[in-house]
Amino acid sequence: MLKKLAITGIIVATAALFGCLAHHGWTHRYGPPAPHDQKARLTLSIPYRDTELVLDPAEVDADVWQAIEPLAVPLLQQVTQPPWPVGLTPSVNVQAFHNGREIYFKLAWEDDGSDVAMTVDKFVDACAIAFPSQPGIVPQSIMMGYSSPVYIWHWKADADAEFWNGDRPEQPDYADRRYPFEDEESAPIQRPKLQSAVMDMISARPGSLTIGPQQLAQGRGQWKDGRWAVVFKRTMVAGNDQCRVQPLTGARAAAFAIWNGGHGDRGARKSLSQWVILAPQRAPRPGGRATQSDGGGRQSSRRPERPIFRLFPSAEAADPSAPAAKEPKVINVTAQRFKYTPNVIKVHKGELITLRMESLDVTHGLYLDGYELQMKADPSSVGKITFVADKTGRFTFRCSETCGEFHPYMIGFLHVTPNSRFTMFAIAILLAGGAFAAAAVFTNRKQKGASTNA
Amino acid sequence: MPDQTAVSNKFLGIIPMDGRLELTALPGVRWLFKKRWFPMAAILFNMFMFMVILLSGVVGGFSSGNYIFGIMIVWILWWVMLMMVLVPVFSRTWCMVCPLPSFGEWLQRLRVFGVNNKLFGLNVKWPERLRNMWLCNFLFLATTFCSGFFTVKPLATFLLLGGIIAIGIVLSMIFEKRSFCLYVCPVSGFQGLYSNLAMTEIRRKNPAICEKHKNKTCETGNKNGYGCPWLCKPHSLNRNTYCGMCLECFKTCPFDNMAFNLRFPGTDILVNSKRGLDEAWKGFIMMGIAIMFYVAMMGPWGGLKDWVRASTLGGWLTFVSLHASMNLLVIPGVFLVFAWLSKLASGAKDVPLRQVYVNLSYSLVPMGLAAWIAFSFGFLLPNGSYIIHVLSDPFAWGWNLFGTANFPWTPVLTRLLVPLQFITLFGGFVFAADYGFKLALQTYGDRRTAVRGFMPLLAMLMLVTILFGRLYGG
Repeated sequence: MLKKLAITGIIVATAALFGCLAHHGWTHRYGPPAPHDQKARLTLSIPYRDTELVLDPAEVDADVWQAIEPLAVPLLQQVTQPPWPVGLTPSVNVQAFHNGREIYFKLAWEDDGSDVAMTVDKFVDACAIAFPSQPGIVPQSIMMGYSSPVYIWHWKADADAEFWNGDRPEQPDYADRRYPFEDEESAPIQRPKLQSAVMDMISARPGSLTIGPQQLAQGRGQWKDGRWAVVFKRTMVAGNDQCRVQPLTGARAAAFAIWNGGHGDRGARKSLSQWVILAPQRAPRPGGRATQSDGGGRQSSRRPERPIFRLFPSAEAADPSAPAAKEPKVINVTAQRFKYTPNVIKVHKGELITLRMESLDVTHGLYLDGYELQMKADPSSVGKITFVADKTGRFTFRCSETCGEFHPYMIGFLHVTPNSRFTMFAIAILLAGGAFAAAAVFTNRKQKGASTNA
Repeated sequence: MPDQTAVSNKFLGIIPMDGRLELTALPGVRWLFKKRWFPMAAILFNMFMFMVILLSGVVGGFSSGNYIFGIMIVWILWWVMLMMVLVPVFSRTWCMVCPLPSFGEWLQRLRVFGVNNKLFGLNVKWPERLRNMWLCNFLFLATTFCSGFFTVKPLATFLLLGGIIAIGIVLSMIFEKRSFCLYVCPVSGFQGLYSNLAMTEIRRKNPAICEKHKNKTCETGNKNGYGCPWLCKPHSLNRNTYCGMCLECFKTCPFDNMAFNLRFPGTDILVNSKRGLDEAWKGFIMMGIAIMFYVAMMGPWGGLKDWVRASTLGGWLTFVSLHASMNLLVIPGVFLVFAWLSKLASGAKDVPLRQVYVNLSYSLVPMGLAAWIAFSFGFLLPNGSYIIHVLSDPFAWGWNLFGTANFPWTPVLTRLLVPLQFITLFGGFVFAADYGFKLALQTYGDRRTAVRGFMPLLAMLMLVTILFGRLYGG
């Protein structure tokens, strides 16, 4: 009886331990669970204030901010793209107001140390605000707009120091080394002069981050007593409709991200929020009172000029002085998690081929087996490789940039005809089979003859 | 009755297959095999590795698998090593050092080291009807339904391996000895079948010594070791299928009458003992899974990948249906046609079709293993470099234990991938054809009958090989 009890106990303990570990793994499959379940979406009030800030250091704590209730926005770790999370900035306090001409945001968060200079293995503190660029936002921001295009204002501490204090790094230029195994392959790239401590960026999806065509956002940060405070400022009346507060078209929202350089935060490793609904207060009519808006509004009678830019570069103009060369056969390939289109490409031996790849979601690569060629593309840039299909057979091309969990299986086939390798293989099998058959028949006849003679 | 002695003992009629090189005759080898700390030391090392694998699965969650220790070590390093080296060369040596059933076995023995032949647990005998590979077949097939999760999501790998360990513990408390390993472990089935092709074996040396030995301590155990945990009779073992190579019989035999031999690959295929439909279906399932895995994972069809990773429930169910049908019905059905053609061509009316079907199915063992080795090249060469990265950063926490955390993805020798696969398939065909003829001789007895009966099988083997060649590089 005791034995059976002990066995039962062991079985129950085993099941319980496995269950607990599985439960822990499941609840943490996207990183630590959020400290609270955010059922109701947060709303950030953006009151009207007849005030203008010039981003003087003292204005980080200007009186106008004292009168605006900060909104504590909880942050989560980003777990969709490497590098994976290490630390977490648990929340950021957000305040905002507008004066009818500019809109201001102030972000404040706890940070033990100010990381301002970027060197090897040291990263800078930063923050960013993302706004959806299209109506109908997806509920989860995950990667700050994982599933929807966004505009981003990205402030970095080193850019702040360089822009406001003139602290330029020692090396103004840097070398771009793309291939780790080709030591001589590098191209020096000059660092542009900063126009602001904040960079206006656009992004369709993770991996597609691009500098925006207009740099209109400004910002200034101050670290004091273990706390960063960064003020963003942007005009509301010029350029595109990045942040049209009044009037509004569709739901207006913003999401926030914090990078703690001391934690090794950079790139995708950051703390980020879900979408926060923006509730701007309309500017008062002459003699009237300001009114609150819940996020909707009428179309403005003014139609600001939309910036024109192309997601993909236009075709390069031919150099008229260049001699007429054989035109490569261009094959357009689109990459999307986790497939290529077309997935099977057929060419003939000796053809000059250009594979031109566009990505429809995240950064993808294309590595061609056999030819050992590689390229990558993201939604804002196209990848191209040109080669002569001098090797025949079937070659696999596969993704070379981690794009998600099925990345190793993102595969396509390139057939370079004639596929003599397979033909030889099939002939070898047929010949071997024929040899087996012949040997079986021959030895059978030999044995039969021997037994007859005997 | 078929003449069993009609089978040639030469591969391709040239290379003798009867020879054995006893490795335990070498100095130090038998000494090592008799030590209780061998293979315990290897088991403990593997236990540590699997704990890291399980931990990486728990903390890895749903992050990308190619940065996680568990995914890379299990599905690239371990699986590839199993298919390319461990099974074809060393038979079931992985079972010797496998840590998955060890917790259960230690609980049974109530100790990690030392010998205690009074095993704890209920020691119930495994049901007679299930003392075959059928359960392993279905469980292995079932795990492949979820390959779109297990091979890419760290947490899913944890659930699979952790589940195997948990079930192993539970079954060890209920059933005798290594019943879990023999009849349940999903990995056991194909290791058992494909170990018939292996180049090593454990056998008795002198039958006369075993006949005189009344106590048969290799079965019952003694103070030096346990009675065979794999419920084998080491004194009369003639196939590798169910021998887990635990080396207990080396410790318990008072006459040092057990030998670890190097031998020509595949000799067990010709041992006409305990052949059955369960092993035939295992051969079909392994072939079918090789085809489906290649098409779904290594092929260019994104829609199939969406099915496999369950982007939609309907797609996944479609994949499961197709996969199950192919493995359980289509491939066995096609083979049945060729078996019937073989019997028809042979003209042998006294040989049952079932016997033809079962016997000739063993010709698929070398073919299937070759297909898996070729498949493994397709994994190893492009993606093997991920292993270097995960060694330094096993949990994707930004560690750099050995300085290789920033090692980039580096495909290796991919221009040789398809040629290597073709060569492997060709080698598999040669073995399959030669053993197929020998199996036909065993089945039909009369040589003339066997030659006629062999032709449809040969045609089938040629078609299968060309099909795999088309799949892998055509």
